[in-house]
Amino acid sequence: MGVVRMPLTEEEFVRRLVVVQGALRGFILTHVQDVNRAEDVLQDVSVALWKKLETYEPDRPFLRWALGVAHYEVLHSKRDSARCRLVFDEDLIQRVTERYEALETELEKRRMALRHCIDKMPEHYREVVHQRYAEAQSVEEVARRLRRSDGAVHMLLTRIRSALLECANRFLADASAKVGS
Amino acid sequence: MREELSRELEGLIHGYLEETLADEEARRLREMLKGDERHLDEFLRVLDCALMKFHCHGIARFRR
Repeated sequence: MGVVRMPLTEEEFVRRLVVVQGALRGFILTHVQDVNRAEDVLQDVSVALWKKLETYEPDRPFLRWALGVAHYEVLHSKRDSARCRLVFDEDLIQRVTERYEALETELEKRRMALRHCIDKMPEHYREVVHQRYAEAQSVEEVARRLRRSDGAVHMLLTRIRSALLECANRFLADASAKVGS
Repeated sequence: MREELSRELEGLIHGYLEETLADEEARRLREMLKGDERHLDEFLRVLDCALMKFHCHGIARFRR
């Protein structure tokens, strides 16, 4: 019986996985919005990538291959989410996979911009964001902890997102102008 | 018309993020995402910003 020749060494695989991990996490979070569950799916994807490594062709972009594998893991993970199933059918997930890869360079720049903007965000905004997204608290729970109404927290999250997007867009425009000058 | 579509998309994305979409709204969002690649791109930009960054770039470190 012949020995299967792996296209990458373990070290090279890990190096490439680290590079694309941010994009994979973002792709998974597009479908699986619970951050803790998304981390589980990311781990499953990482294991699946290692198991399927022999199917990777080194002359192809690693991200494209990895997104293809993630696509199937996402489909599998969504079976118990009725809301996600209503928005995403298999065809739409395929399109998201394609567009995600096409947008990855732009998205990575936006992530850099957002890191900058989050650094500048007022402390009380960070606290709300932390509770809602990092601790995965429901809006109702955040509202209870802050002693505010659910509606007020919804509004606040909308304002925070808008402020961050505006800040990121400004940061990117400034960066682009600097490159152009 | 374009502006109305953008507003509608913005509202649906917000509902998706906050898990408040009714079934009919979820179907409408799918229809919009499939119907125009620009809608899909905008959806991915917003979600990439709204969810991923808060978590994976270590929001915990901001709790000083």
